[in-house]
Amino acid sequence: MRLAVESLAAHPGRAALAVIGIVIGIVTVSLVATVLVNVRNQIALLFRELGTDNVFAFHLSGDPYSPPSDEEARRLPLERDFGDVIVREAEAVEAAAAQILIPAVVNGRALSARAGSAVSDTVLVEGTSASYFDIVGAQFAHGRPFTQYEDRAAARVAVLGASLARALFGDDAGAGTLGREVQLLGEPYAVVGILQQRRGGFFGENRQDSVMAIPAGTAARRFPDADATVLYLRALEGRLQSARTDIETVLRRLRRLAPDEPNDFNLSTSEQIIGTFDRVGAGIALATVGLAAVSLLIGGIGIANVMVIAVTERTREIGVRMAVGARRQDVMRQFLIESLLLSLVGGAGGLLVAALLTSVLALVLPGFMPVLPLWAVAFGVVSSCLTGTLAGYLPARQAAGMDPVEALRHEAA
Amino acid sequence: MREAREFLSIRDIRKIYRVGNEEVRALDGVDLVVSRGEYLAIMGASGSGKSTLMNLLGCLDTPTSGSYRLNGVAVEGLNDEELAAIRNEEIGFVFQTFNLLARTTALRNVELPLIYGGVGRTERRGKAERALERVGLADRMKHRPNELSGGQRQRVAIARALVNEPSILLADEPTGNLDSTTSAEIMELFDALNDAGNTVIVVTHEDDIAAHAHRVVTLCDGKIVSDVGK
Amino acid sequence: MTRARKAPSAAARVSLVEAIREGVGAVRTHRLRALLAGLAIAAAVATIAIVVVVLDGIERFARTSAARTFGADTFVIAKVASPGRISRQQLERKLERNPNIRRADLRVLERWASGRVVYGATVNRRVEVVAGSRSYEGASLVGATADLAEIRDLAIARGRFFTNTEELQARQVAVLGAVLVDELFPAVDPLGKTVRIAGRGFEVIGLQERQGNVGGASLDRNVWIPLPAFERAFGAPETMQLLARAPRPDEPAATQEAESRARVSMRARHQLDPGEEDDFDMLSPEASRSFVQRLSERIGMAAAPISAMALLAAIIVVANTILVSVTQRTREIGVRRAVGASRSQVLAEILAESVVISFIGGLAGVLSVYGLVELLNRTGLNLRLEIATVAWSLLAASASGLLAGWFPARYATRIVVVDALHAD
Repeated sequence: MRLAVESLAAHPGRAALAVIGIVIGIVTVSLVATVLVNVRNQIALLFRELGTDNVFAFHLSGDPYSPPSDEEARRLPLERDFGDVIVREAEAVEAAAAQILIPAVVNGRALSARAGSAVSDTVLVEGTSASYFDIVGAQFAHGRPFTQYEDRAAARVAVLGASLARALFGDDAGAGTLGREVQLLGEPYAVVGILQQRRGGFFGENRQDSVMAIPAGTAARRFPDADATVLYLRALEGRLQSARTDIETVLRRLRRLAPDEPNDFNLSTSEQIIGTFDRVGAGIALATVGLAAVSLLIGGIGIANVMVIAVTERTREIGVRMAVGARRQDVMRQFLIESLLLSLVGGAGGLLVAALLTSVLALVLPGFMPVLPLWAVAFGVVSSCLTGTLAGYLPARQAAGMDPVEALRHEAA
Repeated sequence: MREAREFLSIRDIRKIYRVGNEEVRALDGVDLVVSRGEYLAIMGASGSGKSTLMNLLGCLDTPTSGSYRLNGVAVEGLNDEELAAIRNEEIGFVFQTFNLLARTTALRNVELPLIYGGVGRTERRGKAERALERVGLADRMKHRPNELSGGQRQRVAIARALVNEPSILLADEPTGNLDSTTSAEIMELFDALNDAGNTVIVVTHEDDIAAHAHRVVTLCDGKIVSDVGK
Repeated sequence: MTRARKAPSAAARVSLVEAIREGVGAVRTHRLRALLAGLAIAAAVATIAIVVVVLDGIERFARTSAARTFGADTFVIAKVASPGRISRQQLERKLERNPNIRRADLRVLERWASGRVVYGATVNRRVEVVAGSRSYEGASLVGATADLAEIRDLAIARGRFFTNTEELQARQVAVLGAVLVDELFPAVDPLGKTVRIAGRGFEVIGLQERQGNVGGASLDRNVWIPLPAFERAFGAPETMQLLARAPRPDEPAATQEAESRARVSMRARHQLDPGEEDDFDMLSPEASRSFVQRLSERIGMAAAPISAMALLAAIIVVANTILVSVTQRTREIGVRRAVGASRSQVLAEILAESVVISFIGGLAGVLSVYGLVELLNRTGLNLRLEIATVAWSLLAASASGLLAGWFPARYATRIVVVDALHAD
């Protein structure tokens, strides 16, 4: 082992460059992995914040805000009252809420929220039942959710998402904002609650932060044409699967489906959505990591290069070693150890640099978790070892296979 | 009749190295005048400064102080590029260890100075071939150094030194790596070259090699201690 | 020989030919390590080229999709052209400010076209289409002028589009999209049959080819009827969408001329002052590409640093190789200098070795990407390796070679000749 270190130290510049190559490879792969994991976790968090014990029911599959596919275009939306029926009849479901999606353009007019001179046209208007906020676990920064009374009376009150509140009332939109008015299509709505900023997000954006929620009854009256309804159904703890089955049964009955007809609605849970995302994302993730891995491959080539050079340069030295009694496997082992050493130092160095960079990123970017996923670390260590072994193998074999006499005669390069 | 023109002159040349805190005076005030066509041997024990003097004469190094005029040019003040040009055009080097390019044919080895001198391909080929003929290796032009004997390699080196028609031929222990028969052949070649009009300067520590020259300059401790002409 | 020499010129004489020859020679001598270094560059260049090919493929896909949606050389004039792509506020403003486009406008524009522009008009509505006992809700009814078939390729698979005469006569004829054919006439030939729209009967005279989806929306749910027939069934539409094209779009600048003539005509029709903003939207296939461009920009920005790291790693491998080469050739470099090679010459020779390795590596990388592209295209994709990409890749490879060899080459020029001659 000491021999290996000595030989490598003889040409420090060379060894250093080879190590740097591996470091670059490991750092690239690690950073890519960290970024991917962060993005994925943020997305997962976005969906988990909607409630992990909840079942979502909608008449279409996929993103509720996207246009329907061909097959589903003719499906009728779910009705608001279905929620109550389900709670009554599905034994594993303990609460329900409805969310009416209001399209962005109503009667040829674009929907925007106005407060004084501030306007937001990225607002998502939803009509929600009073229990909605509880069921999706929405945290209130200020104020309160609607009451049942406000819902029934179609009161013009609103709960604002964090970004929307900031856009309309400035960065210090606090308790003082409660009671102020937001104009929607010319009509004033009193602000009764402001939600906390959501933690999850899709590259930093979470639609829920731009929401303006009004009572479902108000939505039904003011926007009679808006009928797309999402039902949020909370299952009893630990009974998610049976809740799902129960909901399905009840909905099939409510929709009057024959036993052989397929569902004309869609049920999903946050874990399911995350799973779909993971499936779609897996391909992209693989491609990206693959791209990053090329750097690692190149680092390996660098080590192989150094080893090949070493073997040809030290031909005479190998001859001498053999002449004084080194066996072929000793020679082979020596070179393998050298290449392994280079890779391991590079791997360790790379992980260190990656850890450093990740910490820096965590300081600079909000919400960035400095996680170095375990599989990336393992991948880094394993690939370093593998690279070292593979890169050094052929040159080591060549060294071991030399004829001592020829080697001694070889001109020093 | 040879023109006794001052064609190479060195005045009060000093070369001083700093090693740690100490000063090493490799050359400590050397004056030398060489006429065109002379055959000179520079002798001395190791450490006498003969190698340093040879490096200076060959423009491989610059003096710490003093002047060096070669063929009308003041060399001591030249910059690196200018020195390279002088080496290319005025000096023909022959080394003890031959110093040929290992992967190249004899012909191309000889062509090397011409290539760096910017000579066109046909012209340089012609010159190289003629140089090799002069040293008696016309039949080995396409051989590589590892296919040639020690004596033949040195001849190639001499041809290379001659090819650009330099002012002086500078040889550093030219027979150091050769056996006695081949050494004799090589020194005969130098003699012939000098007869043909080339200025030859040989640096050596061997008396019998120095005996071929017409003038022997001996160095000791960085100074010339004797200058004997025939 | 009696020659007087002038003082030599101080200009650095460099023989590039010799430099390249030496570079190639050096590479040939130490083939294996040059191969490995070249391989490193090849891998890095390949990743760059692949990313470019993929991004280019995405953009071309978007272009053909846009072409399929409303024609390759067609531009659209509407009150609001793409409501989904602008902010809510802008949408509101346009809805308020832009006047509706009506039949009269179309007639005026056609009169002012003087053969430079061909116009067609469409108006949309979601309807239910009934055929016997079957019905399809959510079909997209398009009332159109007959010229539309000229302006964009409607891909009529069987039958025909309606004629000018039929349009003038407000005949109740219809062309069906593929999905409608599937749903309404699964077992029967639709041509000649009748479908009912808004209680009126329309004879099916043409069937569209299946066109598939663009951006998730199906292009096959359309029913095309003459504009007057639409008006008769639903009343004069509030606003129409105009599609226009140059009569011979392959002629250079024809499309540009058509667009500007259309714009001028519209502005004149709406009596806008020279400084006033347009009060209508004009959309060319270019504009809808911007979304995809932004997407590909994002992908590019993510992929670029990764590829850059790969290139950096490769440069380091080459630098290492050259460094070793210089160290091993120390004595040879000394000889060359002794014989008169200038420092720049030595620099050139070392750099030449580096650039030769990198260039060949780059070439290998480009070739392998070419092979990969060919392979992938067998599976139905439509990727292309542009000449520009090849050129840039080779340039990048060569530049990498220069960068990699720079410091070792500088080191080589600093070699002290005297020491080098005695070096091992």
